[in-house]
Amino acid sequence: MPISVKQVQRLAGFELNALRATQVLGEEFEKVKVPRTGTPVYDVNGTLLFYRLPLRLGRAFSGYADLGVHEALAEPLLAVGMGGAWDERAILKEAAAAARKRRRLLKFNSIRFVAYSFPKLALQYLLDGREVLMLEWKTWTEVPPLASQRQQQEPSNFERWSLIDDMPAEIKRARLRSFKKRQAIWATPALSRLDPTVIMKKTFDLPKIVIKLKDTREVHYAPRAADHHPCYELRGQQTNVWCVAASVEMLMNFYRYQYDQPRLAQEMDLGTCAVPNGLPYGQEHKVVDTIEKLSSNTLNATAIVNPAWAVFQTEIAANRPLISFIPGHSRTVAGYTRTLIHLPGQLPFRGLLVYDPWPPTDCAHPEAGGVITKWENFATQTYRYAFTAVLKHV
Amino acid sequence: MADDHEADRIRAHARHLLRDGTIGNTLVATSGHIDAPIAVRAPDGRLHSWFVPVTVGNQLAGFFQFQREGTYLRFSSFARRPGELAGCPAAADWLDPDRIRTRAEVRRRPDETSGTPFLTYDRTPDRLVWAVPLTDAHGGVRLVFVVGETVYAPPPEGTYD
Repeated sequence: MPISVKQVQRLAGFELNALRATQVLGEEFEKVKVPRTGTPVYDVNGTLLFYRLPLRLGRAFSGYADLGVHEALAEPLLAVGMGGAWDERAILKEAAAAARKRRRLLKFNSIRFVAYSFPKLALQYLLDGREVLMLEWKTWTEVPPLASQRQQQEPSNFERWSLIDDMPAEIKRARLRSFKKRQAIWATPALSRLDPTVIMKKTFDLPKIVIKLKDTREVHYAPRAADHHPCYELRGQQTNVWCVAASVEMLMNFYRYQYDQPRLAQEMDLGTCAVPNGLPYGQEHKVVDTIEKLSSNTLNATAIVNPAWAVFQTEIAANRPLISFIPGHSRTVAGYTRTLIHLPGQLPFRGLLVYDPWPPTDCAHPEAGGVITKWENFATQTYRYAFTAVLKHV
Repeated sequence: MADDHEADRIRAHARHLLRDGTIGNTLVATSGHIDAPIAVRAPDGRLHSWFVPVTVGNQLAGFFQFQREGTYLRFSSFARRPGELAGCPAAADWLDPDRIRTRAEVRRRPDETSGTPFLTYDRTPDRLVWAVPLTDAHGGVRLVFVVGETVYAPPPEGTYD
């Protein structure tokens, strides 16, 4: 069942506050009030789709939020706009003038907003409930009627079509489930006393209220994160070409194997402290061989080419660090974070906790060098290989 | 001028991320000073990204790196433990062009003169280095990389270093 007008403010408030808490919405949204309701926007078939809620904070901020009320939209929050005020009354006044300019004798007794080609908006002029004209918002061009034999494919650039009627049944069902799931989050009893009608970063910072807005994990001493501290140490590369040796050292240290970099370099043919060399492309298998040999096959190592996010997430969730090769360099990964809530159309932020052996130190100062990167933006890096190591059990 | 304007915007963005607690730890959030962003040049000289140092006293605690148009790349910390500065290099090692140039001169041949250092990277933007051009008597130029106290010649392609 679509959400009622009474629920609009509360639902919009939760969605906007969650985005503020995760800082998807910036400081300019702080203390902006969420109105009780907004402008209703209908589907071409007459179904109420969403409300456009004007957002204002004196002269400092103006924008709007589109809050979906129909389950076929998959999520309640459709869009957040800023930099322009939403003034329904002014638009309706302009729309009436535009209609009279086009058809001087046009008779109508109401105007409503229609997503004639979602999310493009038009104004529908009605006389006793029947459409007499539809003009596209802003251009005031007449929108053609619904094609009688419309193919259910991609609509053309300027065509009227129904979001609800054109949606395949299985997609509609999946979206309905997704919408209800989201509604259920905000309907939890713990949130019942919360007032979300003003956007504030700290709205959810209340005792006994835990809402998972992001998912963050780091490797720990043992898999039970609740009672074990993060447990991973940085090693700087001891020459300017020993990133692989340093990475293998970090991973093996996690499993309490103490091999220093000169020893690991010897194993992987990386030279000596005085005359070092890097690991040539094509010899990535030496990482696997070395980990398995030096752990007496207690660790089962695997090389994964072009690793996707899921590889890192799965390994860290299993409390296992990884070695990550990027073009020309090697580092280790010991954690991740990802936002669970984000603006529609935006990718969520995904970041890796990277123990990077660069900048280098020297063999006389193994305790120095390297940086801890928290977080590396996953979307901006090229991941060539990931090396996993799984402890074998009896 | 466009670069200056961009640098101001990047610096404000870094300050916001740090003060907001989104990135970094309590020590850098409360005591860290965001220094002026430094342009990171690609090997062909184009602006690649921005390096934004975060100093505490005279130590470099960490740095941000943003893509040229402002997309966040990373925040990296030299501190080995949260709240401690042990292991953090002297800020001048990374930020003082004169010191970097002097350091590069250990690799200068008698007929070479050193030029102005510029921040770049050794093959991958993760490996930030200062490049110091050394010009010989015939006008030939070669680069020497300086990163902290390490000085080296650019290595060949085709290896993980």
